[in-house]
Amino acid sequence: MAEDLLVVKDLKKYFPIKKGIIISKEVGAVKAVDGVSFTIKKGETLGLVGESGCGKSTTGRLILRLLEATSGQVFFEGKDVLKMNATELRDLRREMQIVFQNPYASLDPRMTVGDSIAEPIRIHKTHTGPGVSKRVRELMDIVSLRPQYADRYPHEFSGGQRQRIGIARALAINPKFIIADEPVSALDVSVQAQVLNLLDDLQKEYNLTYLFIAHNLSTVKHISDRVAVMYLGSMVELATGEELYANPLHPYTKALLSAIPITDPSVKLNRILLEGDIPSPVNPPSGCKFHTRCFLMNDNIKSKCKSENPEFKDVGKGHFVACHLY
Amino acid sequence: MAQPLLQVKNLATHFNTEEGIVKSVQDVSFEVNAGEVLGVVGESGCGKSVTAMSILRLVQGPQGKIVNGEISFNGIDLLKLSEEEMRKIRGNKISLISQDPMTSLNPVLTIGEQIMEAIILHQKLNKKDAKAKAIEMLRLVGIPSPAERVDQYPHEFSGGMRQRAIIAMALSCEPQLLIADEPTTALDVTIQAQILDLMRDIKTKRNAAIVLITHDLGVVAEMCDKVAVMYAGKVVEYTDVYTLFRNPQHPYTIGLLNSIPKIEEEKERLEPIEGQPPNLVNLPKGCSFGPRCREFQSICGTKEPPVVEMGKDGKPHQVRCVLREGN
Repeated sequence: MAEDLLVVKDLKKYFPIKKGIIISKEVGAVKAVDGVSFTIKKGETLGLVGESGCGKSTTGRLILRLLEATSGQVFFEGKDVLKMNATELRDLRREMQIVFQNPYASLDPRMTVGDSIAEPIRIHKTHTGPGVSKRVRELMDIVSLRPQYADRYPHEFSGGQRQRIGIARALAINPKFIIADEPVSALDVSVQAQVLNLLDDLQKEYNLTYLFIAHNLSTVKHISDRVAVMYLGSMVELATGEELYANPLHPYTKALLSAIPITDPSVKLNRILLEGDIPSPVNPPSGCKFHTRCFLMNDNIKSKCKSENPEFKDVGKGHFVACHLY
Repeated sequence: MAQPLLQVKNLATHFNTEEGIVKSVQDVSFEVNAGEVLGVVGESGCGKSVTAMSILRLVQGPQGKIVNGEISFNGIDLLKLSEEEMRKIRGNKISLISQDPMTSLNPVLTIGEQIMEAIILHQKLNKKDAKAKAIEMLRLVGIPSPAERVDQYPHEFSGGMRQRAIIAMALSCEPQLLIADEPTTALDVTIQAQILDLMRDIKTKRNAAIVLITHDLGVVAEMCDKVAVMYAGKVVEYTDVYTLFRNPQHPYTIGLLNSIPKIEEEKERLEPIEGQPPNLVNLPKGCSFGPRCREFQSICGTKEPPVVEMGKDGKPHQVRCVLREGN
């Protein structure tokens, strides 16, 4: 069994809501991430799914310390990431990189793509002098871009090509762990498959570990070994891809899976329609956060669902679920 | 057979840009009957939205122009109508559900005022009756406590509710044809399921025809009766939904179906379509899909692909591919 590369324990991020201009005081908090725990093994891909505002991107940013967590612990290879000072953090960033969602906004339009890819190499001094441009050409080759394009600017590239540049940049200093935050959502359908295959190849080639954040469940299932589902800042279910899709336990996961349109016109839909919208994370429902939309809540457990926050527990074979039904 | 509600024939819409003429839509033809959903699928820039805008005659001049074709709605050629006559049809007999619920509502008017606008204009109701009608429409699309909600502003609505409000607006004059341009793209899956359910309901209850523009093949499989697949401004395959998924013929359709990860099956590796969609100013010679096509042969690079009728038993199945000729 591979060892754990990343361990996240009870991670929380509350964004304060302030009122007043001169004397500002806190009047509440957006509970974006509210006690999330999981582990990622070496060489594994963990998919993180959920609808907009569920805290999946925030979780990714907290791990990288692009945002400071309110509380909780993150261990990367046994080292506590949240307690690191600036120097230690810089060393850590050699190991952990991120690929952003929007390839149109995440590249500096006034830097050539060669310079963009070279930037992390220069900062971390992994190569120097002529070695830098050699490495840039090598990276462009790895992501199937023509190395002679290094002098071009981002606007000369298509969305798919830009995302390849973003991936080359993340790979530049040989990280062990990459967080891919919705890496294909902004791309055309026919181009998405190219980028997914590239991520797959890179993982095999360089033994990378991924945290793959996305809202598209079909994509996540394709690329991930294990999948975690988030709802309103909490993790509700975590299992291997096959297990989760074949045997979803949490009512939210069931509804989410049944909502995906199937690409076969003869399949009769057996859809669970959730009522209403996702509640606001400023004032999440008490007890189980899903109880306001839950269709499986029965009279026996009703009072428990409304008052107690269900524990995120293993119900067998590494299938975790947070629900009073189990 | 009675004539179809909407019949588009050889439609072509061009835009003049600094870089040259962009042929956004070329030789597009299809038909929609009442109570039927036609899906128009394709990637960004393939001309699906411009087709919708052309039907409504909302293509912005002077750069954009419908240069050819016929759009017959209930037997009337929309392209021959005056602007005044067209205005009586838009939002009344034909209405549009736009893509982005966040930007297509006016933030300084209440939801009610925006729904009432079309009702007052087309149905000549007074303000009070129009408001009652607006409340009724909001109730119909499933907005809770519509009597209070009608006086709220768009920012007080969630994304899914805004899309419902837009649908309420589109339905308020009981249109015969609804054009839905990516109605669920900006929404989460569970909310998408609610909206699709609502649209199916509208189709059955009101016998309205829907032109559904989307890039999501799952949505197509679920909602549509007929499908037109577009690539670089042209319809490359046009058939009923079962044939499209069971027996796709155009290499682009086949490639598209193979490239998407499917929830219901396990696949080790995806089969992407290589390359990028072409620049519409400078289309490749012969078949526009040629450079990305797996079945490419030298004839594809020289000859403009013909529309080949491959349908059996009188069912339409048109494929724009030179390699399918004689099949």
